Amino acid sequence: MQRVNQPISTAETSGLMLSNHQIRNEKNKYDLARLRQEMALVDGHKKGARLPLGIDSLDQALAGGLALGRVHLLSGAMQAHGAVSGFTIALLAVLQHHARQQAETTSPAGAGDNGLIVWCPASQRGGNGMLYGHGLAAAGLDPARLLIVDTPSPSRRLAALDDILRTEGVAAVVMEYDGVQKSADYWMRLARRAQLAAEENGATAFLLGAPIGGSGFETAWQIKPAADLDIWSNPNGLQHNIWDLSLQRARGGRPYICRAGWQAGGDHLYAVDHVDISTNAPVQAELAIHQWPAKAAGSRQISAKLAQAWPVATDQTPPQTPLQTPPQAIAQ
Amino acid sequence: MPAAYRHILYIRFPYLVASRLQRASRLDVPLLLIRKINGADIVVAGCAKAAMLGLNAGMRLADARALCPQVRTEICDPAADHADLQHLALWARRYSPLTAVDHQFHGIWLDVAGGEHLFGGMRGLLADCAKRLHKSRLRVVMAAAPTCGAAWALAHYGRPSQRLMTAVKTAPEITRSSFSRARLRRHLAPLPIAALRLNAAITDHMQRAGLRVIGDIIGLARAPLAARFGPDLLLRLDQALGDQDESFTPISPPKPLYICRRFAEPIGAPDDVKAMIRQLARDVAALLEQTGMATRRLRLGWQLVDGMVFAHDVHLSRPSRDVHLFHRLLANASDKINPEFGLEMGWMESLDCSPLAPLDTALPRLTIERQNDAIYATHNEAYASLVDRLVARLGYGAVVRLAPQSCWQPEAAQSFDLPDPHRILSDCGQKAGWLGNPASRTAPPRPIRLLAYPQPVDVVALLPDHPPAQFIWQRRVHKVIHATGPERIAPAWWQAPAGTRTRDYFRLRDDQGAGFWLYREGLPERHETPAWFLHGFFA
Repeated sequence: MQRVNQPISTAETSGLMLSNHQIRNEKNKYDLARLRQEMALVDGHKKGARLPLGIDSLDQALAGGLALGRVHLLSGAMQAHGAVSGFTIALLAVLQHHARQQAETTSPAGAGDNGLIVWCPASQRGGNGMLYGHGLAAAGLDPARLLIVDTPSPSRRLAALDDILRTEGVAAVVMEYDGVQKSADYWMRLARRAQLAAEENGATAFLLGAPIGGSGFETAWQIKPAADLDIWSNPNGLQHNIWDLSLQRARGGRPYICRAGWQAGGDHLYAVDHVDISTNAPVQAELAIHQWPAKAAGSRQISAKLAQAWPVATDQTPPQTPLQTPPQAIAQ
Repeated sequence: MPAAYRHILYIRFPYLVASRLQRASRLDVPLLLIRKINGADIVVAGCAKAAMLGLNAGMRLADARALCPQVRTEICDPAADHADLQHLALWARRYSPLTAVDHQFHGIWLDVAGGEHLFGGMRGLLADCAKRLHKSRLRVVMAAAPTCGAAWALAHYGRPSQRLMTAVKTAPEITRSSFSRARLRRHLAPLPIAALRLNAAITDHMQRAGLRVIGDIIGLARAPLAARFGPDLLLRLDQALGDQDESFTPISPPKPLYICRRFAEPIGAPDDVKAMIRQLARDVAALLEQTGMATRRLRLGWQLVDGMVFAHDVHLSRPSRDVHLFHRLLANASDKINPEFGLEMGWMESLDCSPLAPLDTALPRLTIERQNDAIYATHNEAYASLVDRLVARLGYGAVVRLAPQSCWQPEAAQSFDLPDPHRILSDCGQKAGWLGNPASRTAPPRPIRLLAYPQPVDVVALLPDHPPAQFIWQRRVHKVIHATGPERIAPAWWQAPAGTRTRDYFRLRDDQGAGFWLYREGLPERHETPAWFLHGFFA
């Protein structure tokens, strides 16, 4: 009877040593979530910080948010590489915001150092393009915080991953593997090695590339761009990005599919109602093009058109036409 | 009276600076070096061509331009001249271990006594020296004499025949026979007073007194000369004639930061090679510590038993002499070594050295701000060592940072810089120079990824100046459902090659929702045939 009063905290407390009655009692005592946490402890994972992404249902599926200090796999089709990069930038922006908030609460003196982000982009031969600082700054990621490791060979890049993760002061590592073909065993070992390195310093790693049959990652996502004309046709909607996220695996969580939006520079994602646009896309496409002004007679008109699209940056008060349906409202 | 056998060679470089600059440019116009003195540009040196045109040092630049309008000018840089002369003096150590630099008059001294026979006598030495200097396109005037003063005087004011005579024919005789003061006097007597290395005031003074050449004062009574012109005159005269001993301070070559290991038996086992590298790294670190230097490049060299020599370079992002860092960077260096039948010798050299003050280590930080500073410093140190490790693994130039450029051409608006480890995080949060800002609605859209080379795409547009209705990229059709633009970006007409056309950029969304940045080259209103290219991707 002594054993019953002790909490289940170690692996040696197996069902064999308890009677059926006692097990039922234990189940009542410990809810499933706590049991999961303890299982994670047994697995050797420290209880890491979680980063809430801003969508409640997604955070629930992630068991509280994106696990920091872990290795995440973000995959997507090669032709939609921009969306995968964009979603990574969104995650990094949320992460930076979170780190800044934490720094403010823990040390009021203000340690402004949120850490370095090391990005190892894919080979420039692959048609993925190099990171572009002006675009990154516009998306809310400070290019000065980036260290870029530009090497054409994905294998050598991947081999350097745990070395980078072990460096003190590195907040996140983004590693692109440009669809390199490796065995499942290789990915398993890579994930495990990177995981151990990431836990040391609390750095979060993101692997980007084509879908692979690997396992062992903390979460595995598949990201597709999503078409949403309602948002784009709004002049303020140009800064919003919409993605179809499919969370395929999450340790301690469950698979989940949702459509998420993010405003450039924002500190959270928001949910977007899933509208299947593929059926009426061609019609809308025609509409969108017809909305374009008819053939311009001369360059004067074109410049007027330009001014209409992007007013000159010198004016102090940019046009404040609010979104008819603000993204937060959509979320509800 | 010192009758020791000495043999001083003085090499003067009259157009040293000009030849350095002209080697870089190869323009065939006279070159003048100027310096601002009291608000006026004064010529301080020139090239041989300028000297032929009568453009001499001391002139005003305006006068020089009046004589020769197409003259090219450069600001004189004394530090670079010093470095050049130092370099030449180090080179001249091939003839003698005693060499010195005459900074003021752009020359070097060599005490070649006792070493001439190695080059076939004085004649051979001079010929060899002249040939080598001529090859590197340096104009030189050389003179050899038994005293420093005489060599200087002959190099600056002697007639060419006199210099030759002294140098080639007479001088060996002087050295072979007993010291011949009379001969030296005969050579120096016709030279002007200025050849005694006196300052301009004394020379002027003596000119006014009617004393123009050295011969005029050799026979005069010494006491009145000293009373009237100061003791300097007699000192210089005695030095030139050999009555007073004179020497120069020879330069010492920089000690090479170099450690070498020769083995009694060739080594080949991987563990031995690793041990050799570790030992070399440790010794180089110790040597750097002793000399107070730090290195930015380590060169590991090895020699095989068949005499083949190999080297491997390791770059550091900032000067260091940390032995642990060296060990880490050289951890994989043994893979580069293929010890076929064994290594005979291994060495390590530290290049690109610079002085480094000893670091204050492990001093307790007291206040919170100091603590933050310490965290910041350790982080920066960690980043710097990360950069080193990555560069050692992936090659020089693999680790870069993005830097904004003030240029509106999208591909030229960003450059890749090698990271400066001291400033890795110091300029964060300023967003200086970057076009985009998440708060701004008016900034033109820029993609998050840009293709290094725009890729041609097949486009179907409703009208020539319309945005695309669909495009084909990588053999896949993308139907456009939303387009913004155009943003017109003209080429820099003053530097772009002829035929570069104006671009109209469009931000497109295809039916899947992916964002693309396409541009049309060629303006329909100018009746140019448009060509479409994909240049970047949006999130």
